[in-house]
Amino acid sequence: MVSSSAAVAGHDDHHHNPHLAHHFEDLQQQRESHALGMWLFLAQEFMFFGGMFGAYTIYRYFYPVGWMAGSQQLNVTIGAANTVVLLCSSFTMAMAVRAAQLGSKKGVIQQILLTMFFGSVFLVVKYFEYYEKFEHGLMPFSTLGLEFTNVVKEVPGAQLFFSFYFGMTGMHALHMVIGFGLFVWVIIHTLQGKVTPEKHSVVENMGLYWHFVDIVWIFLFPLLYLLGLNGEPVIGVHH
Amino acid sequence: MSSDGTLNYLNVTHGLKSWLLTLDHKRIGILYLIGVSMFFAVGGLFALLLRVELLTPEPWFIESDTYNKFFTLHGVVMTFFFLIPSIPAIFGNFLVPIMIGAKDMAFPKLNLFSWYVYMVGGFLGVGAIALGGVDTGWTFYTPYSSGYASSQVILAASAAFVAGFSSILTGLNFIVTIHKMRAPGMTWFRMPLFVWGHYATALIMILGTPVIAVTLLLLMLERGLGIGIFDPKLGGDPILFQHLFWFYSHPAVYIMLLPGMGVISEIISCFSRKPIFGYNFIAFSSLAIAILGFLVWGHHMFTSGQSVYTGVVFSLLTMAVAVPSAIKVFNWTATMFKGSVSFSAPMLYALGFIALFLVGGLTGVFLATLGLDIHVHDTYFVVAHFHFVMVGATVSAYLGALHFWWPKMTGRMYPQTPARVSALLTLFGFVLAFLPQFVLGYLGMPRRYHTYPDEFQLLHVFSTAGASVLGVGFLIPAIYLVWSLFFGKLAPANPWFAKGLEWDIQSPPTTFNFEETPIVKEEPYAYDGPLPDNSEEVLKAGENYGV
Amino acid sequence: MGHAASDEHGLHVSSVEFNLRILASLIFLTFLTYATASMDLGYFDTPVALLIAFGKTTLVILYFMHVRWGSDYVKILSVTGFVFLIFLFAFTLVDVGSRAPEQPWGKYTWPGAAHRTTMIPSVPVVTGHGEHDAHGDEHHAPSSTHSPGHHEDKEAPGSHAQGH
Ligand SMILES: [Cu+2]
Repeated sequence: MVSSSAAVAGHDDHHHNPHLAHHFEDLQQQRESHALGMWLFLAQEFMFFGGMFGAYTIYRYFYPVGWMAGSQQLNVTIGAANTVVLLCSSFTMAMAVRAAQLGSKKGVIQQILLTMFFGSVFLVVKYFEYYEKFEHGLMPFSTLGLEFTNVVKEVPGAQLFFSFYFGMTGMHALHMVIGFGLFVWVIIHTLQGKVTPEKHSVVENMGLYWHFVDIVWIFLFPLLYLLGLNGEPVIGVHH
Repeated sequence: MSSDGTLNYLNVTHGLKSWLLTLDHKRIGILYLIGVSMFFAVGGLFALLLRVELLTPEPWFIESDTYNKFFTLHGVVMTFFFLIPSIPAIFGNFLVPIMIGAKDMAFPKLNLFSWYVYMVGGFLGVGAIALGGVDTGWTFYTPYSSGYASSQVILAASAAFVAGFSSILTGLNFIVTIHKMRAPGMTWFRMPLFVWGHYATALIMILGTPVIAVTLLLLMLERGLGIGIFDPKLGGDPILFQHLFWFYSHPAVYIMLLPGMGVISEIISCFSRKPIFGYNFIAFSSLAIAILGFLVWGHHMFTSGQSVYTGVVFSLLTMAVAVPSAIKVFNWTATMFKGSVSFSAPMLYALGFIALFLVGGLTGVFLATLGLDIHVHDTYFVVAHFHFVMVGATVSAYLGALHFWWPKMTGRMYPQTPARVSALLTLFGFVLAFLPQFVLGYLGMPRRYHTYPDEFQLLHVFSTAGASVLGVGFLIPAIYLVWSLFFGKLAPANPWFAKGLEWDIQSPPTTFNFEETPIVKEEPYAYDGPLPDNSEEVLKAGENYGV
Repeated sequence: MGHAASDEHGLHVSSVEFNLRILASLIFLTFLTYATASMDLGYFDTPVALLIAFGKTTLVILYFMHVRWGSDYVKILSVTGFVFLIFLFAFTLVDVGSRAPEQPWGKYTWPGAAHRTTMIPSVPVVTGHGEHDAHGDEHHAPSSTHSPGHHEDKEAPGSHAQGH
């Protein structure tokens, strides 16, 4: 594979571009690399959540009744409302990417702030939901002194349902919190003028991440909240 | 370290800071080399202690509890901190960008970050040792690990969890680099097979590792917060843990092997002076192994209570993996056939790889057979099998790579004679250590046991003797390689007259590898028969070869 | 390397109306899944819910994440995760599905096996299976909220199940 080391006719105009890292040939190569890297990262995230969804599926198969009993302890209306809130945040995120593409610094920051607003609404609602579970003795964290005392524990599998409820929604919420940190970083990046129509991978990748978090919730909502909706109430239904 | 005054990636800047903040993929490869060697020494030390303890049927210098901790730490350190990162993180980082004609990896900062993540994981592991150790075995099976073990399970699991992210990020960097950074003319089918091996490995790293990450996370949550996940007391299914664990941990064997197979393809072709036989077959068999590898994990669970139907399917699919593996072995042999083979140290390691991989692979087919597995499951037969594959084969490839690219990485030649001796010594020591274990396992010696019946002692003594020889075989290279850094002859750009972009640039390379982006016009492995006799260059090469 | 002008080629800019339309569809599908979940579709409850979730996911991936206008490799990557997850799901489900206790080879059963009455989650009846399950009789009816020591929740035990 001996290669002649002739120079590639470089795009010299690009080489002066301050946005181009030294090891890339041109901006397109750089942008495509960033997009590809983010998608690979999302594939990784996908498998991470996928493992939990897999475990969820197995236990739901083992304990359909317990799963239903557990699900009926959740407030579907709040869950649905929160879904809509998160979808709105995805919309504003898509608008932030659009603003970045069009080169509107102000637009990017506005839309990201809006996204953060919707995200916070979601998390605050989630906090109250968790608190309600705490009041009803639905927290299965025995080593923290939070015993699962709700009457629903009589149904085999219901406690396991709540292990998964907290595990999955908790991991989802953690991803949102991490997303908030990244948002702040993107805003700073934008304020520094580093986001231009030619180079806005940062905003684009932020968008991909946020949409992914949204997709996780799109599955969590039916699998956790809607599952118990049409069956006969099993036991100890609240609302 | 180069003393002839030319600038290269090693002497371009100085000081600890220039290393700890480096974004150069070659320096990061060297950082990994240091970290990985450290953990290899720790894991090896535990192995040696275990073997010494097993000299007698009854305990003689450590308690049974300590024994449990030692084999766990040996497994955890060797698997997560040596075998998985070894070839990809050191040689992959160093060579993949050069081999495809790029100046660096696609994400240099991410690359450095993953080294730090790896080291943090490593120190968590060392912390687990310092704070009392773990006794669950490296497999962390529930419910023992989540409810009963009173050792540092959370710390050890978090070490593996953290190291996993280093692996994921490294894999991500490889895939993007290979897709987007190839030089003009470097088409997919002109890439060295080493790069193909790393591409396949990277796929497993990205798609498999997160699953064990979430599994270990659930285990830590169960143990730390008391929530039910796998614990049957709370309605959980411990077998589910095994499914999730092996969904990654079987493919992880291919994370260790595929880059090694890439190394072997490079070495065999170079020292046979022939183009590799069946390039496409080797390239695609790497991908086939990576994908098929995801469909066979249940062969670790034949006796776990997994349903027999599933066992049958897993058994058949496991045997199917033998096909792409065999393709590779056939192609390597065919490459050597009628070639002009010379037995330099890297080649000896490569031949050792083929021999040990053959034994390890074929005993894998035994173990994939449902009925036979019932007999030898969790015995020394299994231990011997996976050591042949993971230690015999992978470590041979690792040392082969080290000897093949050492001149390129450091700019120094090492002495051939001790290198050849140690290559033969490791092969001999390895076989002596693990061949008796096949017999032991077949006779019923279970793995992870501290004591055993008297009639097994002879075989255990053989095994310990072999392990000691193996230890010496690893020690010798450590000595002469370090020696060569200071006193070795300066290495020419291409000491082996090998083909490939990395041999076209100076040894050691400059920071950005290429002055100008190369344009690739030739097919890979364009070797054209034996070296011409008597030219001055070749006589010089003869010295390097050790003739 | 490629020479495409980086701002015109390969980058799709969605209009505001278009994004709004996607958002509206997503919200509509959320209500749709709420509505179908409230109906008793029997065996099809979960498949329908999942189908709608996949529909929403497809909208987000194609239009918000711009995969519709992305490179082929990104298109492949966006489904790779699904494919490998199918491996995980398929084998583990085949295992637990054929591990059933009434079959002669099923030495191991999961702890709750005896309570498992049916695969169909819309039949939430915990029948007393005779030999075990001391609590079984108590909680197969809505009225079970009478269980002693439980407070506050008695007002509307059934108001939840709107579909009936
Ligand atoms: Cu395996």
